[in-house]
Amino acid sequence: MGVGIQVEKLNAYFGKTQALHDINISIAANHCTAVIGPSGCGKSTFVRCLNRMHETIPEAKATGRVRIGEMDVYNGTSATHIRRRIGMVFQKPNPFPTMSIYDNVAAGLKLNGFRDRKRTDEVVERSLTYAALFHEVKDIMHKKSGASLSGGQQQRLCIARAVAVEPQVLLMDEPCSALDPISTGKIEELIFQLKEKFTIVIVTHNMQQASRVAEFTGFFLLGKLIEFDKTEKIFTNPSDKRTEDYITGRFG
Amino acid sequence: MASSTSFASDFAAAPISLSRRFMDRLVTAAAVLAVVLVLAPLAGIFGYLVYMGIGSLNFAFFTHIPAPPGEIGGGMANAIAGTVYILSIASVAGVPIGIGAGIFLAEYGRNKFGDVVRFTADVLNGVPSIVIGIVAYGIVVLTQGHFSALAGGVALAMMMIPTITRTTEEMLLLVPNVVKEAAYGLGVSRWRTTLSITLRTATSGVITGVMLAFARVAGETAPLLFTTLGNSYWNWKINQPTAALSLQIYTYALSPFDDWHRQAWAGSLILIILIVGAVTAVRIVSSRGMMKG
Repeated sequence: MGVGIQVEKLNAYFGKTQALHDINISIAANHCTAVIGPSGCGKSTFVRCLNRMHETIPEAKATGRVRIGEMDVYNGTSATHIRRRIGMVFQKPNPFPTMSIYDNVAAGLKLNGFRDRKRTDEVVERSLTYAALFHEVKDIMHKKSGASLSGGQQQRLCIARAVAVEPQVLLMDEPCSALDPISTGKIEELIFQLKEKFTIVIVTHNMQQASRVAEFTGFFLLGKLIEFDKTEKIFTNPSDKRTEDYITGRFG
Repeated sequence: MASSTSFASDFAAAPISLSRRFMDRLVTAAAVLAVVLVLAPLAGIFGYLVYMGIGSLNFAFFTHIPAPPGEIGGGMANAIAGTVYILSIASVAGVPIGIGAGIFLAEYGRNKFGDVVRFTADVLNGVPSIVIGIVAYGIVVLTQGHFSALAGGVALAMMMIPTITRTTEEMLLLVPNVVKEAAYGLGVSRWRTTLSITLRTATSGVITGVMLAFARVAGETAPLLFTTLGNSYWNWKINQPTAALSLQIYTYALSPFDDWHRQAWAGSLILIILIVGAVTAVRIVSSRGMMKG
């Protein structure tokens, strides 16, 4: 089951440059929350702070409080532990190029020391099924490399890999920006089903996509959260002038 | 729009000018010539070695130790084994250290200390092999009190390490950051990511570096002169003087005996075949189980 996310006074930095300013947000469990905003507004940095991926960049740091379910992300829990409970799908499909499709999905289990082969088989099949990829790859998953799939399939493979470790939250950082419309449609359909199991936070450039998949939407501008509300409200009757300017295409 | 369409169709229909076609041919020819220039010496050397050496190859060459001076016959069995032995020692010592240092430079070497290590490796790479031999003589032979296979292995390992270190670093840095991020995102720790993801993704490049280093030292003679010394008899003890093909070739080629000259040619041929064989075998073995896109 998914869990909710509470963020209080989150600040993020790249060296001396501040990328996020005092973000406060409360994300509902088992719903999809979209993060929109123009390029460079801190959308990606925000989701990367939720699973402490931000700090893997040299000289990057974050302060503030992030609670995911019962976990205090920046206090008392190790980054690796947090990332096991929070899955992430990246902008560009990034399967492990030297591993088979099967090994890609099993990677999270194997690399974290899980050795039960029969259970791994089950998890791989279930995860590929979640990602709506199982039927396409079931005959080749031991023989073919993850990199041999098409872009859309690779991204679904990455989703299968992320859900295989049974996270509570799934972060998606512009998961469709490198995909064609048909693959994008498939991934959006998937998001609807994945919501039953996970809390989803999706960064997107595409406002139509946000309105299609997300119940809640946050609008970021220059590292600040300008407005956060129900998606419908954001797109039909935003409270802030800047949100309205952005969604009506006046800038961005 | 209309003007741009007509421009595009004009552009497609326009004949390619003579000078451009000439340039195309010229550059293609230059590329082919470069390939020939690279391959010609290799083919020439190998062909000449086969021509000169194959006549002296016989069963005894692979099974017998050298005959006493002046006697016809004998073989290089002990030298072939010795070369394999010394190269094994060098690889066991040099490959892990070289790869380890390469991992360090790629993952933790973005600082002053990393720069120092990098500079040191590059300088070490340029040190003449005979100087390396003298160093190994100083550290191993003088402390042990006699020439040995170990001293030769240490000398060759010292020559392998900088090449392996620098190529490993380059290859690991080529692994896209998004691949490492995928592993971090799964909650895989940094050391595990480095070994199981980054190094695994870069395996074929790292092996190329190891093989380059191996092939470079496999035929070295100078560093062995001061270290393993050579031996006319069998030796498997790590602390005793040991025969090596390169030393045997050196000795035989400088001798006044025709039969020894012929055997030196045969030895050279075998040395090259050994190196090519080892490199090919490692390539085949390492490509198994690796997924290609």
